[in-house]
This record gives sequence, structure tokens and C-alpha cells, in this order.
Amino acid sequence: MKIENKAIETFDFSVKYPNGVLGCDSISMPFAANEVTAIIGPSGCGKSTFLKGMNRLSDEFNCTYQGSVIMKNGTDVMNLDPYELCLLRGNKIGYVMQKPVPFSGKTILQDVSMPLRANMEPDGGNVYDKVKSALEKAALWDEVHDRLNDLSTSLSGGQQQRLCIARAIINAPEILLLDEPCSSLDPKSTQLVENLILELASDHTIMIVTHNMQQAQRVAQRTAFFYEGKLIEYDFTNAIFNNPSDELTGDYIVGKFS
Amino acid sequence: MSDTPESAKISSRNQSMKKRKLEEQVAIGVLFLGGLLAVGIVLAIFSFIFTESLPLVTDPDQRNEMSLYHDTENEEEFARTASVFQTLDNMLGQIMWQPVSEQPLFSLWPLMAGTLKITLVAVVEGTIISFLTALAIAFYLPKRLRYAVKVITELLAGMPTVVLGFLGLIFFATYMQEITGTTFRLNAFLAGTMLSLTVIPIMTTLFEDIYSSYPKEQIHAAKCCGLFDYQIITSIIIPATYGKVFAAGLLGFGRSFGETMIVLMCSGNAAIFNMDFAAGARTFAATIGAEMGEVIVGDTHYSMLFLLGFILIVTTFVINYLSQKLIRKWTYA
Amino acid sequence: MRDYRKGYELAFKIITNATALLVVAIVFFILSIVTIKGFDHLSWEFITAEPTGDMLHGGIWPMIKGTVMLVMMMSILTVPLGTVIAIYLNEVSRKNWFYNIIMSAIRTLAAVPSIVYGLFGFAFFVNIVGGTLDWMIGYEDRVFQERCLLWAAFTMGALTLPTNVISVTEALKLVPNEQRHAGMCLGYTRWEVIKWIVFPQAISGILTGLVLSISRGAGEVAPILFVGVAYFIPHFSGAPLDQFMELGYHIFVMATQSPNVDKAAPVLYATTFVLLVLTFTFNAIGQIVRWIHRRKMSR
Ligand SMILES: Nc1ncnc2c1ncn2[C@@H]1O[C@H](COP(=O)(O)OP(=O)(O)O)[C@@H](O)[C@H]1O
Ligand SMILES: [Mg+2]
Repeated sequence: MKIENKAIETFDFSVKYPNGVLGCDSISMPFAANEVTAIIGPSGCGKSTFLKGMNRLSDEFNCTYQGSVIMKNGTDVMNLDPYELCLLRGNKIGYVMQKPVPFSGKTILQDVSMPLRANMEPDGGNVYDKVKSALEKAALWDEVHDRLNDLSTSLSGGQQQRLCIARAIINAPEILLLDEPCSSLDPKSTQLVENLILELASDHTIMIVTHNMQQAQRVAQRTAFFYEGKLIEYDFTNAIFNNPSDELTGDYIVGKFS
Repeated sequence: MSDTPESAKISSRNQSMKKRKLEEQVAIGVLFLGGLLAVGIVLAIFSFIFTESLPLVTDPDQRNEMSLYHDTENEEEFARTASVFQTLDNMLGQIMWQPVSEQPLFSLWPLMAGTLKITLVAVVEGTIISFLTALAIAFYLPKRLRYAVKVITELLAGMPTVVLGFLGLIFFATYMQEITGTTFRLNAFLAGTMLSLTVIPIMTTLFEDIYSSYPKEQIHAAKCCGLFDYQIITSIIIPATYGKVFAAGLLGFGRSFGETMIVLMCSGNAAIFNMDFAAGARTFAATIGAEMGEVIVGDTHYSMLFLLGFILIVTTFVINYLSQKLIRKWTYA
Repeated sequence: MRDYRKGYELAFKIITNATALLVVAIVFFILSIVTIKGFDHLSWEFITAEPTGDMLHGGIWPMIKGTVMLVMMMSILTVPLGTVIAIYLNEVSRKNWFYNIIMSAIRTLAAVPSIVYGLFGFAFFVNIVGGTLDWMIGYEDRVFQERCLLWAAFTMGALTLPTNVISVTEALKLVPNEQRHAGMCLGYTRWEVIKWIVFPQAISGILTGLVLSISRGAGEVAPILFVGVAYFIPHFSGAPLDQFMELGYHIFVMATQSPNVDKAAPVLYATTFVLLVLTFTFNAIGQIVRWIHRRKMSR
């Protein structure tokens, strides 16, 4: 697939777990800047592994990598030292997990401002403003502005997930990786998060892993189909869903397997 | 021009990264030193207890002192050649513990018998009482009392053992003697009974955890079959958890075989080789406690007490290992 | 056929409840004899005065002071060190065979009888460490190579360290891995994850370790029997290099070596009462602090 304005691109990217499982297998995939790209596929096909590989969270599982992940400015994520990696994760790539992870024992204000702490930025007075704007972008401000000092764990599931999104975007990263962000949410929260994704797409490059094909159609301009660690098909969402060129993709889309 | 604030931001982030990097390296370094120290402490404890008892085998003088047969005609020759078997013979080939005498006698048998007697009493009493108490807490007590009984039982765990020993010695011994009619006021049974009080809180908590962590659905399903509580206990819970119960018993044994103060105060401390619970007894731990104060650093008796300490460590290790194995092997729930 | 099950059920109920009652009764009985018999002899003077030579008169202030100092020095040694070790083992080190060996060694050490630590303290702290210090500083006669409060505190520290490491490790294990990964995703370094995410959540476990080791330290006598405690020291200064008196040891010696136990009994009960109050107070303070922290973490 040809893309003009690429935010990040992987070349023959493989992630191997220490037990020998190839989580994702030589995937070459460019991502269009300021668009939403959905990654679909049956569970266990390596979607999460691919996302975790891109911000090297897989390091935590002692994974090994092959190939490269090149950012817009030409840096290869795989070659970063641990400290450059911290800067990358803190400022360039936001990540939202499948289950919302509020930090226990932290208030909402503290929780959302956690990424600011790492940068030790001198404009400490701005914390409140930054949290406010992040929460506003995450469509959560109206619900929590009068209870910023409550524990973040006291929020509902959907609110927690939007809090995590707010936390991920507070340092204005270029790229946002969302790993099944709605799978543990009720339909109403799902809708809120989807709207949020569409809004954020104006100035973020978003990759969203999803199980839900309607969701992919609703939010994503492009969609990739993964199967057993391999990239099977990558095209505009319309094309994928209306006339898939691969038989497997077609079977998956019509629900022959999941 | 427009990206000046952006690049300023990046350079400030890189600057602060230097500080963060330094902080991390220092902190991880300190933590690493802590880990190193942990390894050092572990090694030090194990190796010191071991090496201090080693002269019994390696030092000819100590071997000579240990040997029971002296070739009076050829004293010096004999002293040089006294073998390890002389040491072993003293420890296992006779049944007296008399460290301070012309010919020191260091038989391990009376200490083994004493340890076994006292711990047996403690563990048997402790297991029975804790088992029933845990059942009461988990099934039979009125709901309001359960928590109170648990807390009160745990109070016992916070009781210093010297207090229990003191009460055993001054108070319970007299009454126990009247009830059981033993010749000796202080005996293995008394010490074991006082010792069981230290085991009860631990084992009750363990048993209680085992029962209350048993899947509630299974209990409810059994109730739906019309089983009475006691049938659920005897036919479902005990068969499914007896590995854990046994392991808990083993841990109770581990807790009590090395207890010093109670034994020192309540057992009469007689190093005799029999299994008479009404007689006195002396354990490995109590022997160390009673005699370490008077030994001369570096002589045979000193090394011998360290050997007893080493035996205690090895026993602890074996018990821990076995109980972990048993939990894995015999647990179905 | 008659159904005996009701009878069995009742028997089970009676037997178990009676046993539970027995345990409760024993606890109350012990607490009440100590209180009743100890109260007679208890007075302000008994707590604050120095003992006389025959120990039957005067008070127990030096023992209280010795116990409290021992426990405090031990906690200062053991709690930070235990926390650092547990954090290293759980958060930084690789989980390989070496880690497994160290962990199982620590678990064994936590269960090793306390008297063994007495042996270790005497052989290692008093003789080796003390002797080395004397040699390095160049003292002619023994200064550090003596039984004293300092080495007693070190011995108690060694005794409570494994327990401490284990309780902090348990607390760290309760922090879900997602929390750490989420922290990583925010761009935290390993240390920042520990400092800002893991540690605040593990404080409760660290406090538990503190409570456990303090109440254990206040009650244990066996490990210090031969590393610094003494029966009678006319003027206990409280200096770390002096021998000291301690409540538990005092009870032990007076109960076993008093020429006239009947005369000593009231003093003994009163001393026991003080010791129990001290241990239970330490315990209660710790429990309360932990409870407050739990409340704060889950409002
Ligand atoms: N921590 C792990 N260790 C070993 N193998 C793993 C681990 N996590 C995932 N895998 C394996 O990697 C493959 C991809 O998993 P994953 O990326 O989680 O799939 P998805 O997110 O698409 O459901 C699966 O075969 C899975 O078994
Ligand atoms: Mg997944």
C-alpha cells in the first residue's frame, strides 16, 4: 500500500517471545500521519504483540526483535538506548491498554499528570492547565472537574479508559497506540471513546487494535488484517470490508472464524 | 522559525533526561548493593554456622578430645591420628550428653529424643486444637463471633515466648503436676503443652485460610445436595485439602522444634534418652541456649553447639522444602 | 432406618465451638493472671526506678530502656535494608536460577530458629566484626569485640531481616504488572516506575514488616542470650557499646535462677505485665498505621 505522508513505518518487523513463539512475523507496514488505522484479526494473531513491539513494551516480556520501526525523523525505535526509549514513550508515542489501568492510590489530578513528572519540566505551574486540556480533549473534563482530588480508581470503567487516554495524550505525542481500548467497556462508553478517537485523529496518528469490525469501519480510514502473526491484507477500510482481495480476510469479515 | 519553542522543549527534555539517567543509575546501583548485601548475609549465616562446627572434623585436638578410647601408652601418637570416626562415635555411639567433664560426652540421641518428645506433644495438641478452632471459625461459630475469635487467637501469636515459659514454670507447672500426677514438676509434656500455644495461632490462621479459600460454589453445590455441614467437611473439604493441612502441620513442627525459651524454662532440661513424656527433656535449641553462655570460644564444646545450630538449619530447610512439595502434590482444590 | 446425621452435626458443632472457646479462654486467662497478679506490685516507682542489687526492690526502668533501645536500633537497621533488598530482588534482578536460590535461602532463614541467630551474632558480629574493628582501629584491649547493645541490635536485625524482606516482597507482588507497564508506557525509567508507582503501593507491606519485626524483636530473648544482655548492670548508660538489661531476659533469669521464687513472683508478674503492654502497644500502633494507610489507598 502506498502512503504519501508516513508517521511511522515498520520493515520486516518480527517480535519473538522467549519461549520461541513468534508473536508477529516480518510485518512491513507504513502508517499514514493523522489518520486512524485499525488492526483486526482473530485473537492470538499478534495484534497486541505488534503494538507492544512498536513502543518496545515487549522488552518487559524479554522479547527479541528483528527488522526495524522507523519514525518520521528517521530514528529506528529498535536501536534506542533505554533512556532515549523513555523519552520516546513519554513524548512521541502514547499507549492505551486493553483494560483501563488507573494508578491505585493516586488522585485523578495526580494520575493524569504522571507523564509530566517524568519530563521534570520547569513550567510546574502549568500542571493544572495541562491536565485540564488533556481531560477536555479526552471528553472527561465535564464529568470530573469537580472531583479532581478523588482517587482515579473510583471512576467507572469508561471514565477510567478516557482517563488513560488523557494520560496518554497529555504530552501531545504524534502517535497513539490503542490496544482494544473498548473491549472492557459498555456500549455507551464505547461510543464516547470512538467519538474521541475521531476527534483526536486530526492531530494524532492513531493505531487501534479491535475485535469489533463495525468499530473498525466507524473509526478507521485504513484497516490491516493479521492472521497468525502475519500481515495478510492492508487497504482502505472500505476496500477491505467490501471487496477483500484475500480469501482469509473475507472469511474473517463474514464471521466464519474469529 | 516556528519550531523554536519545539526545539527548546526537546533540548530541555534531553537536559532533564541527563538528570533522570544519573538518578536512575545511582538508585539502581544502591538497590544492587542491597541485593549484594542480601547474598552476603545469606552466605555469612549459612557458612558461619557451618564453618564454626567444622573443627570437630578437621582439628586433631578436637577429634582427640572427642575420642572415647585413649591409648595411654602411646598418647601423642594417638592424639595425632584420632580419626573422624572417633568424633562420630562420641556423637552417635553412646547416649550421654555431658559436655563438661573429664571425658566430654556429646551424644546427639538424648537431644533428638527430647526434641522429638516436646515437638510431638506441641504439634499434636496444636494441630488438633487449631484444626477444630479453624473449623469453628469457618463453619460453626455464630457469624458475629468469628472475627473476634480470630483476632483473639492472633493475640497469642504476639505473646513473647518468654512470657509463656514463665507462666508455664511458675503457674501451670504446679496445676499440671496435680492433674497428671507426674514425679517431676517440669517435664516434656508441660513444655510441649506450653509450646503448643505458640503453634496454635499460626496453624489456626493457616487452616482458616485453607477453608475460607475453598471455592464457595462447591460448598453451595454440596449444600444443594442436602449435605450437612459436617458431611461437607469430612467428605469434600478434607479430602481436597489434606495436603495443605499436612503441610500446615509440618510448618507448625518447623515453628516449634527450635523454640528455645519455653523449653529452657519448662522442660526440666534433663538430657535423657527415652520417650517418657512425664520425664524431663532437652532439645537442640535449649541446649544451645543453656550452654553457649559458658563455653570457651574455639573449644570442642563450642564447635559442638554450632553443629547443633547447623542441624537446626538443615532441619528447617528440609521441613520447608517438604511442605512446599506436599502442598503441590496433594492439592486438588 | 434412623438418620443420625443431625446428631453428628450437633456433635461437630459442640466440639469445634468448645475448642474455639478453650483457645479464647486460655488467652483471657493468661492475660488476666498477668494483669491481676502483676497489678499489685505495679507502681510509678516500679516503672521509673533503677533496680536494687537483689532485684526484689526498686524498679525496672533500665530494662524498659534497654528493650526500647534494642527494638529501635534493630528497626533502623533492618527496615530500610529489608525494603531495599526486597525491591532489588523483586523489581530489578532477573528472575533466574540465582534469584530462586536466594529467595529460597531467605525463606529458609525466615524460618530458622531464633537461637541460631544468637550463635551467628556471637560468632560473626561480636568476634569477627568486633575483632576486626578493634584490630583496624588498633585498640589494645577489646572495645568492639565485646557483648554489647550494638551487636545485640545487629543480631536482632539479622533475625528480622528475612521476615522483613518477605513481607515487603509479598506487598510488591500484589502490585499488578499492568501498573508497571502503564508506567513504562508513560516514559518512566525503571527507577521512576519503582519510585512513583510501585513503592507508594507497597508502603503498607513495608509497615507490616515493621510491625512484625518490632513485635518480634520486643519479645525474643533467645538470640540475645549471649550477645550482650546482662542480668544486672548497676548503671545502665544506654551507650551502644555497653551491655544492657532487657525485660524478657530479666523475666527469664529471675524465674529460673532466683533463690526464692515466691518472693520474686510479684516482681516477675509485674515485669511480665509491662512487657506485654509494650509488645501489644508496638503491635497496635503498627496495625493502626497500616489500617490508616489502607483506608487512604481505597477511599
Ligand atoms: N507473554 C507471552 N509469552 C509468550 N507468548 C505470548 C505472550 N503473550 C502472547 N504470546 C503469544 O503471542 C501470540 C500473539 O499474542 P497477542 O499479540 O496477545 O495476540 P492478540 O492480541 O492478537 O490476541 C499468541 O500466540 C500468544 O500465545
Ligand atoms: Mg490482545
